[in-house]
Amino acid sequence: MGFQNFLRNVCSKLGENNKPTYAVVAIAAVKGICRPTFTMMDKTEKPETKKYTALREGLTELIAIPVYIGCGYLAGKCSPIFTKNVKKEDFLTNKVKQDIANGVSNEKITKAISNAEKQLEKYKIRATNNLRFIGVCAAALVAIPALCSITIKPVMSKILKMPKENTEDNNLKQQVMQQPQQITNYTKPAVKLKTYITAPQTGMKVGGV
Amino acid sequence: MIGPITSALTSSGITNLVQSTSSSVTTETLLKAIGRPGFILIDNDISPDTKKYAAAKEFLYQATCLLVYMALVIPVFKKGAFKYGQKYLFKDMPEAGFSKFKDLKTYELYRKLSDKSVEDRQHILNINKLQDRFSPDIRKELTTAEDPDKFTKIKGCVELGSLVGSVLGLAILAPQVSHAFIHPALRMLGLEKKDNKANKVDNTKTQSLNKTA
Repeated sequence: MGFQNFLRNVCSKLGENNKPTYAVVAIAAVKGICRPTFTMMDKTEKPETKKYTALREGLTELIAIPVYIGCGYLAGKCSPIFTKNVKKEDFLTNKVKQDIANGVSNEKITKAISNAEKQLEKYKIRATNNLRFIGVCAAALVAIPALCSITIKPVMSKILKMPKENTEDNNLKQQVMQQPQQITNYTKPAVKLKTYITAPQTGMKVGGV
Repeated sequence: MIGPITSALTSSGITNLVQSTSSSVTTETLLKAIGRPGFILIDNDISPDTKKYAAAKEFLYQATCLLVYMALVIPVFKKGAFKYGQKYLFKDMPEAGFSKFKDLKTYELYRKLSDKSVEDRQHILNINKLQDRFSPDIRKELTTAEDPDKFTKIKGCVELGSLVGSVLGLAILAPQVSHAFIHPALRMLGLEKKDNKANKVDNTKTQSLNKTA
């Protein structure tokens, strides 16, 4: 009965106000546990690759959870900017407004005013929730990919103690990888033949040198 | 005064989308399918071929997630949750309102109509001959009540089912399905070579050829 009551309470809360962060945070939390576990259970991969991939997957979801919550919260906080000009009078009919202006006061008008107050409150909650959803979407579309691309590499290299990539080495590699420039000036030989004397004289060489 | 931006922000369309777990998760997955490959493509630190490959892989992964989610998770878990609530969870709680609705579709139609004004509801019910779909007390509620009962427990039960389905579908089922689907799809697009083993054979062949030469 305890579990049933718990489920009933959860249903009541979700039915009254289903915040957009609930689903994404739940998905990210389960993904953060299950995906690294599945990766580590894969017998076809090398242990190092498994470790790297599992850590990367776990870190991505670990970053995603607070970003979803934070973006949703911050976007929800912007709600007063949009709803500050909305007043309970906006939810009253023209007839009731006219009656109030004429100084009429009866039970019908009191009821209409209290209804308008309730509607205004609901309206504000609705605006907050919709903004939260926009915040969560922004997190999924921009904030999480951007943050992951910035933070994951250094964190991974710290945890796995990977050697830092030297920028000079990279430049050298890039120079080596670059295609050789086309020689247009044929007055001088491009390379001295002396340099090839020590090189092994087997295999095919480009240009027949 | 309600401005146009605020009016759009609080429109019933967006509100229904936000309040429905399945719709909001679908929208987010769709955005991920656009955003993540986009971010990979604008990364200048990766070579163009790797970018293309990684972006295509990410897009295919998210697209598979979306398909699995829409085809399997939404209908199965939403309907399942409604039936579970009706038959077990709220069986001894008539005030929850499960007994007033035949199925999930009827409840969803009721929710849609309950957002409208009384006049609009009466008009829609008459024009579309929808009265037969509802029980007499629900029909009365729709045609007379200013603010009809939302039956939040039914809504919550359906949302809980969607939530469980989303978690199981997107975190456990979709990765397994995508794993089987992505590599053949990438090969079809020409972004992945046919077989690693074949590559290895090719490499050994070229090495032996070099040696003999």
